[in-house]
Amino acid sequence: MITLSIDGREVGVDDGATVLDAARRLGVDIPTMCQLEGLEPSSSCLICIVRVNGSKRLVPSCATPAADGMVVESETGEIFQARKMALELLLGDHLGECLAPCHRICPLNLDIPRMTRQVKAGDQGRAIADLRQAVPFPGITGRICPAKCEVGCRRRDADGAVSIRSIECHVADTDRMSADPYLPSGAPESGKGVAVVGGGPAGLSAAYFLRLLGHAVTVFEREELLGGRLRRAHSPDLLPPEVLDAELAILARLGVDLRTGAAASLWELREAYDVVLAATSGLGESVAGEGVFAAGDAVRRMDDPVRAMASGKETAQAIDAWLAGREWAGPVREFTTVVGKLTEPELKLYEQGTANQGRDAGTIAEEGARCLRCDCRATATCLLKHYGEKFNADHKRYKGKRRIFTQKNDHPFVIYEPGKCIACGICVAITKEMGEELGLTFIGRGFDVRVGVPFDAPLSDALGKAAKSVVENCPTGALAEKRGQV
Amino acid sequence: MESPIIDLELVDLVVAKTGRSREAVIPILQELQAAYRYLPEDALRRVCEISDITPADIVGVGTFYDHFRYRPMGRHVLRVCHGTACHVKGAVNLQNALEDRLGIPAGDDTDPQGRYTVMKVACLGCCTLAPVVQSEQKTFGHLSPAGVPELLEAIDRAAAEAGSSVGEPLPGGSDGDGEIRVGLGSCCVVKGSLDLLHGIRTAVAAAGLSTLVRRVGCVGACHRTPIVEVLAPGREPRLYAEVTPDDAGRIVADNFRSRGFGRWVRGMASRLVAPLVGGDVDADGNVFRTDVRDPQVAEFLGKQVHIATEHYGVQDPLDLDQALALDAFAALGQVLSAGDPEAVIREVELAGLRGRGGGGFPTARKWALARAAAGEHKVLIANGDEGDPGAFMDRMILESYPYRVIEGLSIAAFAVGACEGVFYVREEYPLAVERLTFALRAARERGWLGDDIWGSGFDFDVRIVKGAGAFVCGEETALIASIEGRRGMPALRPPYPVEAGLEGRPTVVNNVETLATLPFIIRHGAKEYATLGTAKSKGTKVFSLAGKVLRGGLIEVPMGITIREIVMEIGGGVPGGKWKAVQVGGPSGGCLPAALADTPIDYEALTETGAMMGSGGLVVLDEHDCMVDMARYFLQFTQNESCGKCTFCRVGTRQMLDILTRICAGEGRAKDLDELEALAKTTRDGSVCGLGSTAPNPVLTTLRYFREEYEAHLEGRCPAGRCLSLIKYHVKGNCTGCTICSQHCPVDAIPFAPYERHVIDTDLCTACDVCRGACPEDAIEVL
Repeated sequence: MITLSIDGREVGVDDGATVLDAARRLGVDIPTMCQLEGLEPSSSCLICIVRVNGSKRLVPSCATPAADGMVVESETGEIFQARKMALELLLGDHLGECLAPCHRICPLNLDIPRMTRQVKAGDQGRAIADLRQAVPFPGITGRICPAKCEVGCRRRDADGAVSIRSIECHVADTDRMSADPYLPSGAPESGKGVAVVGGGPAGLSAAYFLRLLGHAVTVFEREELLGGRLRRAHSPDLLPPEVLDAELAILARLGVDLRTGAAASLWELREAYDVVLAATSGLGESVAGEGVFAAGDAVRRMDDPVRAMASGKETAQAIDAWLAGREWAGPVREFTTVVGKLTEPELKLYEQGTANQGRDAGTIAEEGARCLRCDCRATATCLLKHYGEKFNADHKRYKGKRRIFTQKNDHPFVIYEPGKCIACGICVAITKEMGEELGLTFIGRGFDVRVGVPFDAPLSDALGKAAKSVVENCPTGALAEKRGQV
Repeated sequence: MESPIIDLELVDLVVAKTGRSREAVIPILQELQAAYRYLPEDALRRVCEISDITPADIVGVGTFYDHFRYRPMGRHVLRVCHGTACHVKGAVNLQNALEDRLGIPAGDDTDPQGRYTVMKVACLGCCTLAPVVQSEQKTFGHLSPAGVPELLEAIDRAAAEAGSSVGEPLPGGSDGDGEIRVGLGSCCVVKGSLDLLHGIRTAVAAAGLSTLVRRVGCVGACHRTPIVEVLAPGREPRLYAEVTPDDAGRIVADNFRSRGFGRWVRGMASRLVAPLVGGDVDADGNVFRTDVRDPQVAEFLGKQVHIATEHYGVQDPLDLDQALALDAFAALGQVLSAGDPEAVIREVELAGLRGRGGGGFPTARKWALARAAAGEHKVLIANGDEGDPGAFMDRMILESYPYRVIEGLSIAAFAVGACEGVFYVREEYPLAVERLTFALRAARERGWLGDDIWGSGFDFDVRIVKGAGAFVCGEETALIASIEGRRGMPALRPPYPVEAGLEGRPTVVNNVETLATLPFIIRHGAKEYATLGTAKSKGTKVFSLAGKVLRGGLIEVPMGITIREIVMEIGGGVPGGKWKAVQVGGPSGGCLPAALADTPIDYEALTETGAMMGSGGLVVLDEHDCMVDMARYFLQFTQNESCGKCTFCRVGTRQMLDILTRICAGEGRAKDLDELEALAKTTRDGSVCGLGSTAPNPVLTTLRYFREEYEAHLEGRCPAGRCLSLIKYHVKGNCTGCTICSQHCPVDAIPFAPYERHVIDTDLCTACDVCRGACPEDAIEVL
């Protein structure tokens, strides 16, 4: 039995245990990426470094044997910074994006690549459910959205962007015209009441999301019809009034109290409701204080109705947090690395294996199949992303010259993207241990070292029985199941 | 280039010779590359078919080491040295000029016709001849971009001549006619001492003399090579420096009387024409004679103490009889007859000997740990993987004193209780390997290696393993991985090699210089040894002194001597310039400003400055050397040599290099210096092995002592006039309009204007420095 102390707490471990083992026994959370139970520690990522016995050097806890009387520091500010630096160095050399550009750009944060896959697979049910989770009135935005996502689409530089807005519109219309349109289920009733002043895109979007969050919502609109700018700014050809009405009807179905032609005094509303949300520019009075929020044109003029809807959505989240007594630090955007522009040959690689017909050429499913799948397949399991979020890491801090994008896509169900590899060697060890004839190996040295297949043979020759295991144990999305997370 | 069809039968022969085991992978690859000049994939696949080596092994190991290549080489291979000394003397411009001249496309190393391959090598260890290029086993020194056409002609000539070996033992003569000693270290050979040796032998034979013409190892005074010492009967010894092969006949005639009247007359005649006589320094650097009392030589040697390099300039590297007469193996005999290994360890402890590889770990403590470690089979490894650019001590010691190193290794093995010995030597040191091979065979034949050495019951034998081009293999755990046929990745310690090293056996890795010191300590006793040096650093240290110094060379000095004494007294100061700094310890060390010149050579004192002892490179820098560029240079080296395991070293050094490259290009940003410092400190503290943890030292020391130079770069100035993007070439008023610069300019940036003052088009100029070298009037300056 060995006794050591970690951050001032004593712990006993068996002979042969590492400092990491001891920390885990104590419940001290030391981050690890390159370490895998049952394999020799490769001690390469260095995100698990600790200080031992006050030494100047920091050592990887995964490979440092615990010793009697050892004094280990783990949770100090300095060690946190060093770990963060290791992480940021890895992120700086990471060629891959957690989120595709379309998703990243979308003001409403719609997971567009997922929608394209659902459409491709003909899964209307999931498609509308996910769409409704992110977008309040997809039949409207599917017609009038400026579609920045299509500007960001990587395929744009090749043979034209994926028609994302058409796909959105198709999913929404299919649902609306079905016998039993989808109605999202909201959170349990909170017992709180919110008054939304202004029935334009911002107010209605806020109302939609507040309702989904379980709050009782009343909308006050001066005009006789809801919609505000949505009703005025677009030609009836682009956004027919019946579509607009049908799309906004979801609010009533969700149980939002809609009062049109109704003037409202913010002061009075403030007394009657838990929260008042000002979502229009023509208020004529200025109100501030506890429980008063603003969105859309009440903040600044928003000509783009999608921006206004995003403002409403974010404010709904802020109100929800305030009502629950939670701290609100602004809208949480998912952590993501960014690659930037790809060269033509790099794009070609992406294009291989996707549908090749030009824009709007085929069915909606075929259009969905044109998606290049440039989002990461492993966002749910990737440790770089996980710790990137946790450490609030800046992936741009150490941006050097980026590597050339390559992809090995010749295995029936595994795809390898070397740019996402952190050279931990777990897959190399697994293929060796499982007796793969070719397997994987480190190629090169130093900064240029990459995992690869000997003699550049196809991945299908390298990964037989070990295929599943290397995908499961890859700490990033470098080796991933082609299908990925749906 | 089409890949030629290859003969795979050769693979079978190689595998039959080296064995089919996994450990044989590096020797197999070396043999295959020697045969095919690259590694054809078919040959590698064949190896996997007929051996235990897997495709993952052969690809993983092969791509780790620099020497292996996967596409055909040009017919001529030019290796351009980018060691520290070569770097400060313009290796980058030289390589660019070569590539331009040979039409090698950017990003490639071979011209489209497959005639020439130009490769960059980390260091050839000929620092005093900088900058140098090696081709077909021949080294060419003191080159310049302007001299590239002549160099290529010389290389073509060299390729046409058959390579001659320098390793074969020479026929001896009788002692009656005196002795002529010719220095034959690698540096001397570069300057033609091999031809000189043959010339002297021919002249001796022609004169009918039986004078012993002895090849001796490195004399150390590399700046004056080739060196010949003549011991004629009844005369004072005479030393000739900077001799050319043409002088051979005259040297013989000058000192010896030919047998027979006719020959004597010829001898007299040649004496009459001989221009050699005259004692003082020839300002033109031409052939001149000097003797041991020459003030220059006396100064160069005055402060030196020769222990590892004992009998320098006297001892024939391979003549075992002479070596034995000079006490070789006496120390081994002494410890074997005493039969007390513990006593050896105590003696070395008393001597205070510390590892000369750079770390300075007490040698005796390492031995004691290995001796105490469990296991019958223990191993002793001589670390001759001297990869630091700017260092060539170990090469010189191995080339000049192979018996001494073998003896030291045997003494260490006896102390530790090891039965297996390994010499790990860089492949870049062919002469060292050749001489060591010969010396091991000779020592074995005389019973100094093998079973039951001299009836002592001590069994010990040694093999040679050649490195394959990876600096990190100088780190002991990486070195062991390399011997085992793996990628040379350092391992986290503990366990230390003294507990579990080569194949899990207790293993001591000692540096070549450390081993070469042992015989002296045993013969003279620890007390005498420990009188030299400081409180914690005892004995002597061998340095390669190079760069902007009058007398470069290989020196052995007592610990405690100051840097100033080395540079100013031994080195003779900085010629025509202002001494700015000295780079100590290579890529692990740092740049110390001249203001710290009184720092003594002492492990602790040097570490305190932020540099370190390192393995012993000392490169003197003057005001034309840019400190940011120096930091960038070393970072480029270590970044390239990182094994690629730890994040800090793999990516962190790259980030530092990116920042430094940016600063040198005048594109630095204000926060770069802080980021650089943060990266350097965390990489130092967080890296697993010595390479990563010392790689930031050149950055940290230059930031510490020369921060204003960094700041100047941020403002767009390179005070040393070194960083290409920040300087301009300019023609001064003393231009005579001779057009030579215009003719030499490879990018036509100087219009052809005879008799007019030339003008350089700075938009076209690539700052290759050719014009400045070519200008006979010294009319081109750097602004």
